[in-house]
Amino acid sequence: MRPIKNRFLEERTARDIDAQVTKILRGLGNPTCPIELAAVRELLKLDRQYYSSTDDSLLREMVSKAMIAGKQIIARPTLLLDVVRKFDLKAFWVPDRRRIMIDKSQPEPKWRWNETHEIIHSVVPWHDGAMMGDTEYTLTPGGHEQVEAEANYGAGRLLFLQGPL
Amino acid sequence: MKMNQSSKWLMEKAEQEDGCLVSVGGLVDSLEQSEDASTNVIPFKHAFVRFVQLARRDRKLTLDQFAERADVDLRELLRIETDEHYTPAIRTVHQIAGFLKVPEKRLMVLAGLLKVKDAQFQRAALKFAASSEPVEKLSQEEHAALEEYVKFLCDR
Repeated sequence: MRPIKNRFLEERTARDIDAQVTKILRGLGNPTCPIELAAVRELLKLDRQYYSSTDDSLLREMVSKAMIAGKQIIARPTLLLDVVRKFDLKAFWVPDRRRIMIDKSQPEPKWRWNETHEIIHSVVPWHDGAMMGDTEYTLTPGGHEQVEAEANYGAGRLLFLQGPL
Repeated sequence: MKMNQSSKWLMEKAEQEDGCLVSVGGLVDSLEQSEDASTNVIPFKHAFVRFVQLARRDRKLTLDQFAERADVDLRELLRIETDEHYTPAIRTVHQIAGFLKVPEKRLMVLAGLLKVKDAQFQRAALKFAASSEPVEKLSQEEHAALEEYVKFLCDR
């Protein structure tokens, strides 16, 4: 069986993501499994909301709220609706509101992974520099693949409490 | 939460996801990408390679010293300086930007990790890439090798 398409992280990248995960786990008093994501959100001062990619009214309500919150969405009101559909997003991270958005039309067992993936985006320092809060710059496909792989790696490390690799 | 640990179930799910990109969506600001690959990757990357080389030499640092001070992997730094087609890790560019005290987003554009719609930025990168090439006189051996290769090309 071929491995799932993903990429190996550069050693220092993995090390620094691990350091961020260690900081979270320490902040929570080194919890046991299963980790409480509500506690992680509280520690990192993150907000979580749900939307549904299959329910237009929920998406529209969210966009109208986001129009107040984020300048990039004020500038282009249809952006969020467009991208959620176009890229079939199951979750995403709104940096200027420190908000994680989860698609509740996804099977519920997947929400936990999706949320943790977005939590990692919020704590990796170079994700902030690479893409947040600026409409002038967009990720290239190669850059996007990297940040996604890094968030996946960190999500696994957080959910499994940095167990053996 | 109860984990489903049946190996049959796990193998089935692994088969389903085999070959798929593992992702649950990116970031609001990064979502417009993926359609058109950057048309300026090569001039930008050439500018990135030259920029790192010259910035390192300007500080009179060896590759080893530069890697250590910027806290980046030496092998990766070597690839950055020698392989224009190589796309570095985002963290590496973040570290180099911090070490050289230059805006990291702009350096990420040069490295092929971000795109920017800024014609002036593109022109400046191209100009830098072109003008930073060394123009010292060829050695006798280099000149002879060039002549020989030109002859070979013309004969074909």
